[in-house]
Amino acid sequence: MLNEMLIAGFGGQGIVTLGKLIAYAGMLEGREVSCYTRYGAEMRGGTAQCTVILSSDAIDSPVIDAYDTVVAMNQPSMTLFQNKVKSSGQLIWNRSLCTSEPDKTGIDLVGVDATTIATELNNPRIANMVAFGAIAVKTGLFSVDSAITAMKKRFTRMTQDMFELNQAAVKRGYEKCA
Amino acid sequence: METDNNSSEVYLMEGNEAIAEAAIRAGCNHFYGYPITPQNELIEYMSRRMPESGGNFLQAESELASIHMVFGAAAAGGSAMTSTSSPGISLMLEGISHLAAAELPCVVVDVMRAGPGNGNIFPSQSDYSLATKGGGHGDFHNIVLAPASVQDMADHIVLAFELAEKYRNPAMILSDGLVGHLTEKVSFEHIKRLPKLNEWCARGATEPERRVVKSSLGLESQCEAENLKFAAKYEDLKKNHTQWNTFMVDDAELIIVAFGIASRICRKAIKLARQENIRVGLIQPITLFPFPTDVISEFAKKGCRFLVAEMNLGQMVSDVELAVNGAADVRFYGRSGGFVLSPEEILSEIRKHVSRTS
Amino acid sequence: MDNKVLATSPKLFFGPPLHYCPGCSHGIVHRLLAEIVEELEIREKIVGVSSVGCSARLHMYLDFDFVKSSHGRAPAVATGVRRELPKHNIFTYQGDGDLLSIGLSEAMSVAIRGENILIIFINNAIFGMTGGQMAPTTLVGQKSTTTQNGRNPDTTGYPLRFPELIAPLPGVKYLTRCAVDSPKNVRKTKKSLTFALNLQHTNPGLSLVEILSICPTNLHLSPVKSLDWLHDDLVSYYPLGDIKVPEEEK
Repeated sequence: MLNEMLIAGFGGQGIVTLGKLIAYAGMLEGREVSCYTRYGAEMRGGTAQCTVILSSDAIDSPVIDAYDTVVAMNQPSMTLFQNKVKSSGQLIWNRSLCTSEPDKTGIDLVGVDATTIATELNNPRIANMVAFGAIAVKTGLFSVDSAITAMKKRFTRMTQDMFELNQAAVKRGYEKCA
Repeated sequence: METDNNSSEVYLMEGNEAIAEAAIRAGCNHFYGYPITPQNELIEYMSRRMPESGGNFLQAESELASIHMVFGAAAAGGSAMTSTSSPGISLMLEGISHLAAAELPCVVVDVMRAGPGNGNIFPSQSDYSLATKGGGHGDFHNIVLAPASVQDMADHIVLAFELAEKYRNPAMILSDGLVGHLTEKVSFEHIKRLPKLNEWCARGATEPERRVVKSSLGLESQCEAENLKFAAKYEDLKKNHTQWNTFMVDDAELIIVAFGIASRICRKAIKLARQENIRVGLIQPITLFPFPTDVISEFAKKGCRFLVAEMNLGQMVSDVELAVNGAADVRFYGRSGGFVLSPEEILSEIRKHVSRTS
Repeated sequence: MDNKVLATSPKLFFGPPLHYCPGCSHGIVHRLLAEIVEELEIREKIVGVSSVGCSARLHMYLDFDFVKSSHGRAPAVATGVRRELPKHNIFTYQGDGDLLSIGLSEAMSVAIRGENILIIFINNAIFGMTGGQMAPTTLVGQKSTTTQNGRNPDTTGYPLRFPELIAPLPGVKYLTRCAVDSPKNVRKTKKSLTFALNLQHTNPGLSLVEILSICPTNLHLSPVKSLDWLHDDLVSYYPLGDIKVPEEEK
């Protein structure tokens, strides 16, 4: 088993957080994992890209050329990285922040209204958690339970309210795509 | 620290954090550093964990001060390290040379970025020459290790402290912004506190004989004698501690030589090439100084050709050429300026240099 | 006839004959340090950090532990030593070029941090070992090999009174300026150095004892004339006396 995934979006959308949560959830399911983040020079507002690999074997290169799954959290990422999806791979894209549809053919297109759903939960910043739920169900790489456990382990300083909100976002993303 | 996995002590960590945690577990009790991207996670982690473990952390006023604080702590018997990224290493060279001359053990971590000058903050292997060929003024060498994974970061820092202590010489971890920011599983279970000898340290004169720790080496004959002593240490180091990995070399007609993160990218490319029946393998130097000359020389004599792949413009090529000594063809492929090599581009480079067997 | 020993060299003042030029002040301060360490019985509990310049060989004359620093970095080196040995007496011994030119950043930073070390600052207003070049403390109009017509403040700025500069910093505990130009002032210098070392246990923080000194060789004056220059010219720009003393120790 090997899944090579790219998550991309604006800086500040929680791309890195999402990448590390996926790696963590993968680890909980006994997989080898790697997560490489390419940061922009600035703290906020640049582009953020995160390569996450989940594998049953030791991982060679943490950097790759084409992906089994691309998660595009905004329009520029979708436009740019849809072409990096391997044939019969999948593109999970945040429909809320895209004005056009992907035009790539021969891949599985999964549009998720991540930001809209997050806004319905009164916090557009947790669109990444909606995507987390969608990724769990669409890739089958880890269960929603592992996703929640990963959040519990990583978000140790989060208030209970905030944690529950994040958990709700994951579940909404999961249900929308199930 | 809470474990990330209940069944065994496995954590999900960034390379920059893993190196700090492993250093503390191995007994490092002094860290001095100055913020610079892409190694900030290391000093931030140290600022939190070092006081918890009873050690000393100080954010120094500059890299120059950091390395001299390391000098003072090591001279007084502490187990000391610092970390920085490429421009900061330039500032530390003065101190590294003094540490080597005074025969003080210490570890310096370089999380390399692109250069020269301020370059940029993206991953690069731009300091190979600096680290292996000198690392400061004078007749000396650093011990240089090149980690390729987060687990390597943890294991190499321990080895670096061990070798630094054994040879009383600075050891450098030549990491890069990619491994520094890479998140992977890591275990520290096997790491034990290293023994520390300090009978030569300046800790107050409790014996009739007092101790002076200094980098001044005396007049010509004394200074030459010291330099010859250092050279003998490097010979011993070479004989006993040269390390490398090989991958699919047994039937290879082409061998890629790559260190650090580049070696892992090449592994992937090699697996792809093998699917095309291309007989290609890898030699990954783990110690860059001492360099694994003999193994390369051995394969050159068997008729293998070589491709050096680096994230710089060929700084390791001359070391491979020296090992090959004219016995085989040595080619180079590299990217500079913060570009990371990709498996595909290595694969197409491999295709250029081999015949195919079916 | 019974011979009585009236005075002797301190036991910790040892090694080869001093390499200093006739009239140089370093020997006096070295001897004071030997006396103090002997009298306070702290040989086991003191580490000196020497620097670069004429006093680079300080460790050869004093029989206790030393770490020899590179040029200007003694305060940073002493910081590392201090963190490893929190209960010891730690001092640096630095000249004007070492402390205030190449090492100003390190000197300023230990003052800001209030590092618990003593800086013994030998101010003779000239670079000695390299052959009499301008120091940051060279007086206006003073001739040196790099200010051959006298120091011109328009191009080189004014001489630096470092203790006055760092006095407002809360981590700085004790600042005083002494001279070793007369038996009385030598005794006063010894008292100040002893006070500063004791303060490391009772009131930790940075102490600096500036010692006005002479370098007859590079002043191109006889030792006696050099001493006249010290109390006529040097003291009028660098006034002697305490600059800062902790309230509770006054």
